[in-house]
Amino acid sequence: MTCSRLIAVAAALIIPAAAMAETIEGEVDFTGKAPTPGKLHREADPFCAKKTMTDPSVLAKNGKLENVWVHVSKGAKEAAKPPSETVEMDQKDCMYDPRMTTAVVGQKIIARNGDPVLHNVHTYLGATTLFNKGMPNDKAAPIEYVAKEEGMMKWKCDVHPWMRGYIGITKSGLQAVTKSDGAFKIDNVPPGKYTVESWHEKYGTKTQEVTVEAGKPAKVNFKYDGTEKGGA
Amino acid sequence: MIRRLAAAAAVLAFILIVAGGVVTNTDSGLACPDWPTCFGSAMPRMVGNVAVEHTHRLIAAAVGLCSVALVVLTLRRALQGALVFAVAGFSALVLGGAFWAGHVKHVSDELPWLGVVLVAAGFAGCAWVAARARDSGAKLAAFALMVVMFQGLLGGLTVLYRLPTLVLVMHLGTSMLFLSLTVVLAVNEAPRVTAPRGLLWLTTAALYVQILLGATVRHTGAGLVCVDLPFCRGAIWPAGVHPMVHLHMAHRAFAFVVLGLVCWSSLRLARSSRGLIRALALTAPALVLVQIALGVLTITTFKDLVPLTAHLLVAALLLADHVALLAMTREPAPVPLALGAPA
Repeated sequence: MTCSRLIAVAAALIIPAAAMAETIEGEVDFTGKAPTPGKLHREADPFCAKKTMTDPSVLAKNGKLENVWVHVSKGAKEAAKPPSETVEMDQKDCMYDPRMTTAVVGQKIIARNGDPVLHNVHTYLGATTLFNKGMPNDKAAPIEYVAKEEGMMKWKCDVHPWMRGYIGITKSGLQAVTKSDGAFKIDNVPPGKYTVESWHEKYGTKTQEVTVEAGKPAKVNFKYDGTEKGGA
Repeated sequence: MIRRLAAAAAVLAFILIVAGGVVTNTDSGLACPDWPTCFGSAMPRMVGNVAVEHTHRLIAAAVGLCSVALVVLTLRRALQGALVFAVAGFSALVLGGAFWAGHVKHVSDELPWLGVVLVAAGFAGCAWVAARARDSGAKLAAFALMVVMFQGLLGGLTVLYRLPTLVLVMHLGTSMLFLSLTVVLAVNEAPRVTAPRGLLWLTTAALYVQILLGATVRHTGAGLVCVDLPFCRGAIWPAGVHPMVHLHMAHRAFAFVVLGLVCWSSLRLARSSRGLIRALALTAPALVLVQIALGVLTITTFKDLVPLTAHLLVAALLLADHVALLAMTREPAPVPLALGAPA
């Protein structure tokens, strides 16, 4: 087989598959009264006390909810290989940054300390501690960890108990986190039937069934009213 | 039978306290959003944090059943079988009222006053039963049942009000009180040995205060506000800092007060006693040293689950040790005063 034939066969196999990949997109609405964010009590540490901050656990604006992890929980195949780029979780001004992000099983996660004070990075998957290591200051070597299991990886600093971070981990990589406009978009979804799940750190989980058809994006909207309980 | 059941209740109380520590230390306190059910079920899917929280609730239920059995047996022994029905009815009122109120609070976010009134009436009835009981064992058992039900209600409030600090501290405080009552019931009928008990009472009170102080440190998040040892931010008592720092250092400092008191009272008791009492007295200082070491490890491991939970367990062991010593001893009879010299 000549080289040009090989290219033609490969193109015939790859191009339709790529063309068939669709998106699941939508918004997460917040229909209740958005709680007024309370002041975080960070006074015990003189460095953290320099900046006054409010509780970012519920960020709802114009009826849209931010920081909701939306992912395909059933029906998705495992990613062929995890993304080569690393997921970064920084500690800045005694807060985790970003508050919520995503990773794929097998992907490398790096924790950094951008503050001149001690943070201990205590991560959990469910009730199990994944690692618990101290980072004395901003000169501390980064902590590297490779995501091993699906689920919500919770980040805590026991020195500063208000610090919380979240990394949603899936095998498929079919996931997204809502922005301030409540919107999310999950790319590269092959046609098929899926269960899509949303998770918020205070209001917990909701699920919806969705069918993705070739040639048009699937729409899924979630709704929280602020009375839900669950989450972290 | 009663002693064995009380001993079983005490062992279960230890397990319950440790399970409660695991709930707190794995951040599982809100894994079940409702109470007394978990996601509306008496037996939810036992995975992750839900398994930790619900196991704690199931152990609590077993402890509650043990307490009921103790009341029934002690009242029957005192030939007051009629009171068994009364205590059953009042307990049902407490639990029924609390479960209904908990459900309404979960669904509507408002605690119904009728539920509170029913619970209060149930507790008043249980107190009436305790007062009517002729036997000291039955009085203790009825009081233990009230304490364990109150502890359960506090557990419910921690869930429904999303972990308020005061309720969490009270939850631990009542669990230690219940443990103490079961220990007393287990050793109540053992022959008592004469020994000076004033210092023992003081030491036991100091231990209880230190446990409450530790619970406050734990539940206000002050456990790692000082990460240097033995000082805090370079000083024994740093100035110009947040009260949480002083709370943490007060817990550390009071540990040495407790160590001094335990050593003093234990050595005094060990000198004047033999057998089990001597063994219990000599165990106490060793437990305090282990406890201090676990406190240090809690800080150096950044609150690792094992030393942190063991710190709670040893605290419970120390309290139980002292309560057992109090229950197995009695004050020496007062020496009669000489009424003047002989003629």
